[in-house]
Amino acid sequence: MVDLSACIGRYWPGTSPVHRMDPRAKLLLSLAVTAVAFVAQDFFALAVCAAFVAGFFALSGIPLRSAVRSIAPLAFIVVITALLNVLFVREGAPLLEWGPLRVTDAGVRSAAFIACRLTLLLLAMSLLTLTTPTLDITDAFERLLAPASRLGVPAHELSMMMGIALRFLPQFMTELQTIRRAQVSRGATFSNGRASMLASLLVPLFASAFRHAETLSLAMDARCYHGGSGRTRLHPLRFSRLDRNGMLVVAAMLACVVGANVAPL
Amino acid sequence: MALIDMEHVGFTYDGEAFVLRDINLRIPKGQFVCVLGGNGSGKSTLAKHLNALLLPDEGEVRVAGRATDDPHATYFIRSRAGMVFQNPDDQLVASLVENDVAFGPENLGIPADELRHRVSDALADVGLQGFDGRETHALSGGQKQRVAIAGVLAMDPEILILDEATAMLDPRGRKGLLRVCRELHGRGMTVVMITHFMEEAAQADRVVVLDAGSVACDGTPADVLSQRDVLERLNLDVPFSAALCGELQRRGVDVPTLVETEPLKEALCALRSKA
Amino acid sequence: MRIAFEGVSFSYVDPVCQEKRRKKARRRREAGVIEQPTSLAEHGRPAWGSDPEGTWALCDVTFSLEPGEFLGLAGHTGSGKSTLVQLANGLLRPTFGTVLVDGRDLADKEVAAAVRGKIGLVFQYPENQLFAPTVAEDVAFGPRNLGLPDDTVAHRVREALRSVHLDADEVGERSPFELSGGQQRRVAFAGVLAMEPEALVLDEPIAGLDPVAKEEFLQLIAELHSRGIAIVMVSHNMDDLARLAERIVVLNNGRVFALGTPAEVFAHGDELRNIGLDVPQAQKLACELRECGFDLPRALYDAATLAADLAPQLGGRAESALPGAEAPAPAGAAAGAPPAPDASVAPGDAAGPGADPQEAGRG
Repeated sequence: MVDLSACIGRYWPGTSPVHRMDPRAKLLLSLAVTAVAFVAQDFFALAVCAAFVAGFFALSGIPLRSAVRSIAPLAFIVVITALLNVLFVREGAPLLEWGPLRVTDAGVRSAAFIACRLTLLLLAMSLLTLTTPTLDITDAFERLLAPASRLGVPAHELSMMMGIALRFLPQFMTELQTIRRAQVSRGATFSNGRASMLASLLVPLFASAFRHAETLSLAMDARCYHGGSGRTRLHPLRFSRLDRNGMLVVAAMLACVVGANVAPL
Repeated sequence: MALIDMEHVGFTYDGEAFVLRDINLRIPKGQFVCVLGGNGSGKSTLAKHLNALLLPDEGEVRVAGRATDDPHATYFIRSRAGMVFQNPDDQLVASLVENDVAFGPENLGIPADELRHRVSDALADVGLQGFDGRETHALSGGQKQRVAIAGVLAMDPEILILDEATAMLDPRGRKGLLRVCRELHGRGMTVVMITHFMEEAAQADRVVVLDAGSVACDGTPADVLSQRDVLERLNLDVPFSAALCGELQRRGVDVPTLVETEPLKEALCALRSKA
Repeated sequence: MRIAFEGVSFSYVDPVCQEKRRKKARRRREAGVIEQPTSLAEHGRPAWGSDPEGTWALCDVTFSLEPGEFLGLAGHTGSGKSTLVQLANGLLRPTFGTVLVDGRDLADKEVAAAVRGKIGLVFQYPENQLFAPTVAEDVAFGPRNLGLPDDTVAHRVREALRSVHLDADEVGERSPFELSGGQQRRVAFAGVLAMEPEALVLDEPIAGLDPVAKEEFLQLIAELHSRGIAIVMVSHNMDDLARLAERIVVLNNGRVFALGTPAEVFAHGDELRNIGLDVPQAQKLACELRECGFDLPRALYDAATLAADLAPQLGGRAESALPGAEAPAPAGAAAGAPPAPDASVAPGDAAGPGADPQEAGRG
């Protein structure tokens, strides 16, 4: 059984200040952290940024272990990126040479830096998903993009699509598993990755996705769906003092990191 | 005036073969109607005409006084006549129960305060109080269908249409769904139920049997479901009671054809004390 | 082929892991992180039906499928039927206990691989697993996986399609997705039959079909059984089980609630109703009529036998007026059942009203 809660930084119910913040503020916040992590040019700036993220985690009451576990499935991205850096950065003093392989101190340093930066990014994102129900995230996304919808960006449609994709994800996992078991009981083996075997999983899954889509669109029509205009919300979003404070904190972090970057110069 | 009024309705998907032919059907407010028919009899097509998901090629469908082909009436009609579909996995829009139930009224632009009430009332009506924050994918099939009904009820409709909504449920889920429908009907809801389960049809006020796009029979369950030969010809199940009455009649027992077991039992006991 | 379950228990969640999770949840609740109990789904499956806190999907299940037998499997959603079905062909391995196939332990990977083709498993809505561009290729998937030569595969595809009443020449080269729902399900059946199984495990094979297609499928299953294939059929419809099965296993909360012939199992109508299951309609009515004073001696009734026993007490004849009436038109699984299968089952003379037939094994 694929346990979804372990795969994705799934919502961790709670009532902490971080939980209570407006999802729009949290979305902006994690985008800000992303930006800051990219602006940061050295370990010191990253450490400042990390301190802020750690602060938010402490505030949210989510144990660090759970946070780490929530990003563990994506760790391979960090590892691969770091490895690429180790192997392909040619500058600096060589630490190890073995045939065409050449590992330099600059390579190791840049690998470590990139790994830290990515981990920080993932932690920031998982803080968002751990403290915010997915529907609120898509809602926030739609509201933040609302000004752009006047320029023709389909903000509502995009957020609706995200919401529906999230709603069907666990269902497709279950269906995929049933299909896999059915094909295994017909003697299929998936360990050697043969194309025909893969088709026996994916074709039924796609067919089912199309079937679902057909009825779902009818069902949405039947429930008077006609796009975003004139739609109200069960949980309207409201900015509060909490959000203002959160934004101020992030602004402070931004200043610190930029400062840390500029200062050594 | 009838709440649903179909006059000479004809419909074709491809412009050639008519799936519905000259359907005339008036359903007054508060009636519980079961629509029966074999595969390809046009019963689902008929259901989709009742809330303007399909528009007639011939004739006219009027729901709550408005013609379905009036483009200005579409959302009015869909909010009057809510529809629940066959597959419980296909029709829920949101990951959380409360958001799914709120989807319809959100589309109607109902303000947030009233939305809250509507969601909790609708969930209470289908016997799912406190399910607001549950995830839809972790519910059983029967519970999903009840959430779908709650989603319809939250639009405050007059008509509930169930398009084979019980076909994919286990007996327990089916009974639960049927009980909900009967309760709603008891409070004045007009229910149109497309099904091929005879036990469900036997409990309706009225049974309409479709065959090749036309109405083959229309009457009370006692009238329609006792016509064994007609049901068999139209590839429908014969209710157990009616089948047993048939067997008894063939053995020379003087018993009328009854479609429910409770009256049949009483009739047999009465007959025995006479014999 | 004999499949024997010996004291089989199964948990989707490793008990140790489950205990850890509970502790974690308690800690979180105490720390005030959670405002409401977490969703049931987090406590391991199934999330509905049997006790959500319960760890065991199956608990101490012992029974056997004899060669060529037709075994019915009843129980409501969440009772462990689907788990049992998957244990029976080695897709899942028991947490405790053993599943023996002809005396060999199915937990052994080699044994499992060797018998997989011999025990055909048809999932619910099997048409959802069709994938190949043509019907013939889809049906050939199983035999090809067995590594059979091309001409044998072609022969098996033809035979399998024939057993489900489809013509290989007519539909073989068509896309399975063009076919009607009922035909798609036949193709999916054929895909399993092409492995030439000695036992077929069917998980609600007639779910979602209309009355005509249902009846055709039940007849198809009866035909396969008459060819000597052992059948395990999961069904919610007690009328179908009473009509077709030689023995019935009833599961409740992962345990064997009853095991015996349909007559034995359905003699305990009240107990079955207590766990939310039905009894066949004729059987139910017969019980009620006995209370009214009718003399109904058989242990198991269907519409035809009930009418035959009732008629003489109501001024009619035991024999039907019409010669063909014993097996009425295809419509109606609930309607008069063909007398053949029940003749072997109902011990007509035994078990008077209210008499308790042999103790039905209960867990």
